[in-house]
Amino acid sequence: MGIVDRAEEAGFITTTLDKLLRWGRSRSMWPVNAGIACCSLEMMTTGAGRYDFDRFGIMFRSSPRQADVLIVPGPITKKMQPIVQRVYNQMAEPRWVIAMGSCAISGGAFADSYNVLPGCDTFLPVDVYIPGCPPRPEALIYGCLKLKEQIANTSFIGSAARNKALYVPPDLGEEWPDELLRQFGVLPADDSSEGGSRDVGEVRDEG
Amino acid sequence: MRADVLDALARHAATLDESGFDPRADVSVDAWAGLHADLAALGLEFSDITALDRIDAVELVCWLLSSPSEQLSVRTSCLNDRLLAPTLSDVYPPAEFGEREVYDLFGVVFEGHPDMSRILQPDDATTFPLRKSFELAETPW
Repeated sequence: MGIVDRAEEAGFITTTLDKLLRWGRSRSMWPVNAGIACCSLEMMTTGAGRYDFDRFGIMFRSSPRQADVLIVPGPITKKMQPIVQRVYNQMAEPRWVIAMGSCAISGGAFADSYNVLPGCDTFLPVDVYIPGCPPRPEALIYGCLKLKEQIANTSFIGSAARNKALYVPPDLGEEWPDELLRQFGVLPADDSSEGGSRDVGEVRDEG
Repeated sequence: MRADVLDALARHAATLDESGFDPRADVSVDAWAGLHADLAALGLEFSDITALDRIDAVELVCWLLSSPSEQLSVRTSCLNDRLLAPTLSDVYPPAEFGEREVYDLFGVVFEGHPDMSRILQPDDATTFPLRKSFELAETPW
């Protein structure tokens, strides 16, 4: 007897909040619409009619603010790295990262190059690695279902500290003010007024 | 090879070598801008600018096209202790990006260029990766 049948029969269901959260999150993984290189063509194919990502509740969002999965479909050059990092920083927690294809996993054919990072896990916490060059849409679907399984089987309540350690990157930089970083425990909460001493790196003019 | 092009090459003391697949002309770096100004006035079109690392010098290669289908490579050499060449971007505007690429990857600075900044690598990069002396192991990952 499925959950809908039970709800129709009794008018209500009982569950725990944790299970409800896991049920909802695992069935509405919304990836950012971020195509980085050629693997994104397979990603688009997976989203289109024949393979149809939507039937898993996976719908591409054009804004990282609305997304909770970042699929990295290609090699990350050193010049692209701050941009991908920024997209990731803008996503709301909880958030997950899928490394799609050889380049996102290890740099692939470009691993020994002067301008490509050896894998996106050098600066992002990757949850699922999908090998292939490129992976077929079936492989991407399989990886996403594995991530769905992981989300459905991971307890969120009481794991805030663990999530924090996992998900807050070390160089949030200019994006977050110091008091917020203190509040979330990224910076030590000491009250000594050493303001302005934190190295936020070079602030680049993006005009 | 057209006679007027040969004249221009002779005027700037360029040595012409037609033994290869495409004719190439070697010129000194001082005559680089003047020769290209003359060739552009003769109607030759800019195709590409790139470079080769010759260990003790960096060789600039500028590919020119002459209609209908003749190709000429004009080359000059910048010694390692003076990687400086006059820009061609005032003669051929499309050379601007090509020269930025040569600067980014080989470290040759072009005098008179409107924006001599990095184009392929990040702005804070410090290396010239297509030089033979560049060692990948030194890259701080």
